[in-house]
Amino acid sequence: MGETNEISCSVRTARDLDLLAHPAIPATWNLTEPIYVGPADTGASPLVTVGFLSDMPIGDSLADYLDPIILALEDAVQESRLRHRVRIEASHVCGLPTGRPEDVLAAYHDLVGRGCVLILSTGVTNNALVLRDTINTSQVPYITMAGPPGLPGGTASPSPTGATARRPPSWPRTSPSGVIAG
Amino acid sequence: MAAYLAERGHRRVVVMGEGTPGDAEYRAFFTAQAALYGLEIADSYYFSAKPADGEVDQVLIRFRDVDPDALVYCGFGFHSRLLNPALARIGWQPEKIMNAAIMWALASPEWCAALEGWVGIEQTNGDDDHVKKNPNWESMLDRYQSRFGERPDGTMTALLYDQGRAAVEAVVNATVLDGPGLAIGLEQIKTMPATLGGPGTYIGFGPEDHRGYRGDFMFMKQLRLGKFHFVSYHRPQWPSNHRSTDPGGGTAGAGEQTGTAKSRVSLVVNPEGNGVVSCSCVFPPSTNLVAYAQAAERLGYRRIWLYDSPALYGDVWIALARIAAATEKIGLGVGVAVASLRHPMVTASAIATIEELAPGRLVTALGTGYTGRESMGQRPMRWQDLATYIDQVRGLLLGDEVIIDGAPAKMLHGADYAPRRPIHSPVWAAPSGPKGFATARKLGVPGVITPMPPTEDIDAFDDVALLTFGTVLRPGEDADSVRVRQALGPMIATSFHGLIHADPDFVDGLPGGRAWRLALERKWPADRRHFAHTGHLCEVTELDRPLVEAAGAEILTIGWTGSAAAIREHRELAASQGITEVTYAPMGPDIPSELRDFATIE
Repeated sequence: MGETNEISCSVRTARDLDLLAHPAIPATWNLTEPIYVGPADTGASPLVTVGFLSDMPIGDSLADYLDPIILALEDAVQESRLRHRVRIEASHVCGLPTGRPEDVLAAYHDLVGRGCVLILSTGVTNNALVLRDTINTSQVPYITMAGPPGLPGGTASPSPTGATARRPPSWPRTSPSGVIAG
Repeated sequence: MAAYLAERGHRRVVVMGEGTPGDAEYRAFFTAQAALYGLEIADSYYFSAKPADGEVDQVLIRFRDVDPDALVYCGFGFHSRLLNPALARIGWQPEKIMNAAIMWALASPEWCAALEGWVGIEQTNGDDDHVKKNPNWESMLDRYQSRFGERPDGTMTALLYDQGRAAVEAVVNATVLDGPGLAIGLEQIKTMPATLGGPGTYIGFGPEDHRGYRGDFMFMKQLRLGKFHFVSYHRPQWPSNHRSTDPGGGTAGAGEQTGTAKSRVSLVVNPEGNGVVSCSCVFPPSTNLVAYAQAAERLGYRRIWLYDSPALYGDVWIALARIAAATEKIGLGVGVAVASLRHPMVTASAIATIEELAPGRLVTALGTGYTGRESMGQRPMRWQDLATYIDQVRGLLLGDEVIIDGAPAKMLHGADYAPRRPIHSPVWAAPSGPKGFATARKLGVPGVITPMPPTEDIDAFDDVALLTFGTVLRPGEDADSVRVRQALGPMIATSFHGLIHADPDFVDGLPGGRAWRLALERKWPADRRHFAHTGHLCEVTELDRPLVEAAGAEILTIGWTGSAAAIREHRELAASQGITEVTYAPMGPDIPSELRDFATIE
């Protein structure tokens, strides 16, 4: 483990950044600027843009959600595991059950449009279900905390060759389905 | 959730949630798992986005009327804060369990209060030091605190840190840095460390296998007084495990959470046929008391006794009123009320109130107050003073005029304020030595409750209740078993609390005793040493924890601990000694299971 790897992070904490209402998507807010995390010296490794979508129906905890992710990236830099610089684009959309599904879809598309090649999320079940088909179409994987059986990525179409359509990972957290899925 | 409920012996549940697509998924899966584990869903209801006025109350009344073993909330949880207030309004305190929706408690202090008492899925380290922890969790929190100056001890932190780590692996593994490339990168993750969950949790994906967490990532915690407390890991067993029995008659199954479908306390007739022992249980008044009382009633326990130590527990009479209202037939006991804590009229009025709430179900045992007074730095009261007190209370209940503190006193309650006198509510005594038994005989009390098998003449008493402690060992358990140490730990600590006052030299000779005494003396000066009673018969403090560790194999000699067969022998011996009622004090994090295990000994 490279204890001396120098870390570069553009913020002290995500809480230093404000939220701005999205100019086009209702009930959606973005951070005032992206967050950059990675090794101070990235060499030739290109920048990777990762999104984060908070879809909780209440609250403004977007910054609180990002600090654990920043720490994970910095730990990986310390361990010499991460050599790329990562740009985090983050949005909060008021999701179901109080929000509208079209806003959730638009917020996801917006992150994809901002160059995200992977989207992390709070990903509650209702919104993950709304996004399922869109994610499969866009081919940008989405990590959710939800884990009901209706989400993709299960064992419905096992292929011994692995030559299957790319489907978004779903991380079982809230559903008993995760208990037997391992 | 279904496995957890089944392992606690529940068979009929009611289920609620919300009418959203996600909740439909939860509902479908819970229904399937309930069938697997033999749970009957007696009724279910799913709320709309905004419940109508009174709708929650109406549904809960409907649920209450089908008399389920537990109330299950299986959904997103946006209405969960409505439930406790509604339950309070309708006077129903069922065992309550929900999915990870319990994490709404983290959203606000108000929401946290509204979920008090619920058991749910919360997946960071447990707060019980006996439970092996996920080493990634505390270490990550240390780094988090160092980096951000805070220590957010909750599931979301762990989940999001793990997502960040998965993102790194996706980037590292990807051959092309676009969406499909990172999806392939994620699928290359096989056994990535997890911060969430228990020590056996890890993260892995594969083609068409996108459920990341594996192992013991899902476990139960209960919200008590605004904090999550570990209940059990989810380590499911086949339902068939609970249909077999071990050769000694105990319940089958192993691990930290087992149970049985058998659910009635048996009576033990002693071999000589000269006595019958019934089983009661005893608790400190606590937040969860109503659920314990309801479980005890379902299991067929004769009576629920409550301790009276106001420096340590909730108020005994308020607690009795709570369980009187929430149960139907189980007996109620104060075991033991400390006379000096209340004017005799206060005790008589309290007895009258409980008699009004639960006619004929109450026994009040009065004692000199070892723990009740000692925990406030006072010596027990004198037996002769207790005798006077008992006479005064009995006189008041009969409607007599009684001299108290030099003045005549009499229950003056009108018809709407107490039952008519005389009130024939049994008043017992709680002796433990010759002087106490002699006083009890002289008073002519109908029954006594005692902490040890009496060597005194007890023929004068119709009822002799014996306080018992211990745990029923399950197959494969020994002195190293986490569950066994959890169940016996409070008793070990309490034994030392008593011994330190009676015989400090003896304490020094016990395993871990001298180090504990020195630590105690460092922590509490002589005039505050009674603060060491913290956790008496219910918890193990950090100060006391080394005693549990030092007990070693001797832990299995504590109280009524052993196989079902061994405990049956204890009960038969008690019956032969004239004991009429065994009063079992379950301890540890899973009281309902302890109750059930003890209840099902044939």
